[in-house]
Amino acid sequence: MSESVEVVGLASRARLLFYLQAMARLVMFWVPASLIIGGVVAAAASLMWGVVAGGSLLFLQFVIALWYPALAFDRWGYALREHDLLIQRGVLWTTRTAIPTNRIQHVDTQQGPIEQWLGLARVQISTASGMGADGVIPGLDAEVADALRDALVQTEGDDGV
Amino acid sequence: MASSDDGAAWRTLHPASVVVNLLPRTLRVLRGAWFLFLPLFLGERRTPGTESLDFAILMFFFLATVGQTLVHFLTLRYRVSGGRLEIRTGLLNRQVRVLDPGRIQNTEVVRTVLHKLAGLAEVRIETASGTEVEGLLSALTVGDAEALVQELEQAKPAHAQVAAGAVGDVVVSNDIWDLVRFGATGTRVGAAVLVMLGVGFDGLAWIAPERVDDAARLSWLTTGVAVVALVSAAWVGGVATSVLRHWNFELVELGGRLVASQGLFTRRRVELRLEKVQLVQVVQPLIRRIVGFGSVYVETAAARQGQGGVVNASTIVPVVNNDRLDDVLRATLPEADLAVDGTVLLRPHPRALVRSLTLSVIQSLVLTGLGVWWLGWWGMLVALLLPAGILTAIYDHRFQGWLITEHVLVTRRGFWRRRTSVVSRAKLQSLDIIQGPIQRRWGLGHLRVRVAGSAVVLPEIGIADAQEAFALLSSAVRNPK
Repeated sequence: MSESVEVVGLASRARLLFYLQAMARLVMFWVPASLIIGGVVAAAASLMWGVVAGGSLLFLQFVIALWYPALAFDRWGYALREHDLLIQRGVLWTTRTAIPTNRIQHVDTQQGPIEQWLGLARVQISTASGMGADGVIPGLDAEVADALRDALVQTEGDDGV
Repeated sequence: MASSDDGAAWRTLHPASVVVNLLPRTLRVLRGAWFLFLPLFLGERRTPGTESLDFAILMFFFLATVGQTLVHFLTLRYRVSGGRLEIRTGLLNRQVRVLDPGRIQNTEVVRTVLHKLAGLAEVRIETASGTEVEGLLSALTVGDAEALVQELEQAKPAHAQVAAGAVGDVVVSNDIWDLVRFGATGTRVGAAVLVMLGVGFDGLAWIAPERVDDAARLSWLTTGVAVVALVSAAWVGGVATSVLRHWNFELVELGGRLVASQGLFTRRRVELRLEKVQLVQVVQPLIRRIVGFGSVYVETAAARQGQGGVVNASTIVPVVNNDRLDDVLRATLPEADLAVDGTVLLRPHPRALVRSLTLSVIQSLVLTGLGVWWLGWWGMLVALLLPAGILTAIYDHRFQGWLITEHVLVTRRGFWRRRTSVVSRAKLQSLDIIQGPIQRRWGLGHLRVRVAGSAVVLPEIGIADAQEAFALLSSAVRNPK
């Protein structure tokens, strides 16, 4: 996917946001999951194998939590062109999405607790495709997100429905 | 809760709606709470008086359903006012819903056996929002139902209206022989065999250990008879269901609308405007291709919850003979400038076949490994799936295709169940190019195209082709009609 389009990256604080989200996932999901899997393996085989299984899984997820957010941050980008919004994202599975602005039904800006603390917001763009948000851009400065939302909803035209 | 008021009188459901709605509502309650009712009917009664308790629970649910049905009848009001359909309903939670006729995707008039006995009809009005029927008037007299449909028609923008009394052109109709062919070539036989295998395995678990030898001696004969009986019953059932459901099917083109009517006991008539059609899919399973016909699915942006999930198809034409597929495609999607079987499509990338074959081999090896683990060396029989998987991958790749014409996008997938999807380029909502790690290494990619209510995915193609198609399609929707 090397078509040359000048894309705008996320706010620099989004890198920290991605790290915090990855660490939150590690603590809230992967630590309990590793304990459960380790416990099951220990019950089925031996304590040593349980520690190996649970510990390996947790270590793998820890490495991913250190490595993945920076790459994900680098790969995120968007471009608001004259007639459409282009979004690119993904580390292992890369995706480039084009949403014609005249097809947009509504645009949401959302802020979770960490995003509020960092002054960031994410923009969710929905069309009539009826499959949830067609496009999401996380980690934007709150003012940039508001401006992008306003720019996207002002477009008029045939919505293709 | 205010609504526009031009003095139009509010109308109500027919009083017989209480009776007509009660039975299906009661069945819905029973179906939804079967886990509660099962112990009532099958549980052991050790304590005196449990029968009374069971009866009281049943009566509670029944009376609640009666009350709900009565409230529905007493509170539902509708009218066409200020060019819009307004529906008021609810006692504690009051709701006023206003529908703009210009936004209606399709209108359906349904007459079940109960409706027919009471001389009533149900009107279902769907827009592009959500997965429910947005306007449901469950029991009107046939005259009121037709009057409402006509009023909504007149309230639509002038270019979308159809003159009263206009007679349409029959696009396609199916007689009983067509429907028998449709049912006889359905997938119910395969599903029945799977169910039978499941029941058979389950039954083995119930045989007492000392009777296993007897069961084994009987099994060849009984299994053979059971297989023949079940497959035959499933086949006859499939034929009967398709005949009843699609009885006297007719698709008519009437002044820019498609009108489909069908059904013996439950008669349905669906109306949709051609400009609302989002996707047309020609489905040609192998056996039906051999017999000489396919089916056509017409989808609008309206979606609803049906059996097995969200249903997008507004109309299904069960039987279209191969020589008429192009005519029906053009009648349902006038901008479709191609022939279903005659147009030469672009092929997927050759490396996509290597990828499919690799996946197929890996799947077979994993399944064989599991088979050996569970069944010992008998599990090696699962390895027979390997040649079948390889052949399927080769044939699937061979018959895949895609094409972007001046007006439409076409994709074709599947060998056993070939599906040719056609969408108008003017209807695209968004586009995605997706690449996994192996696809990136091999220079492949997937292009997914979303229209309102649906999505189609092109076969795996070279990334340069995917990017070119991406640019071409996104440029097409930049300029509104």
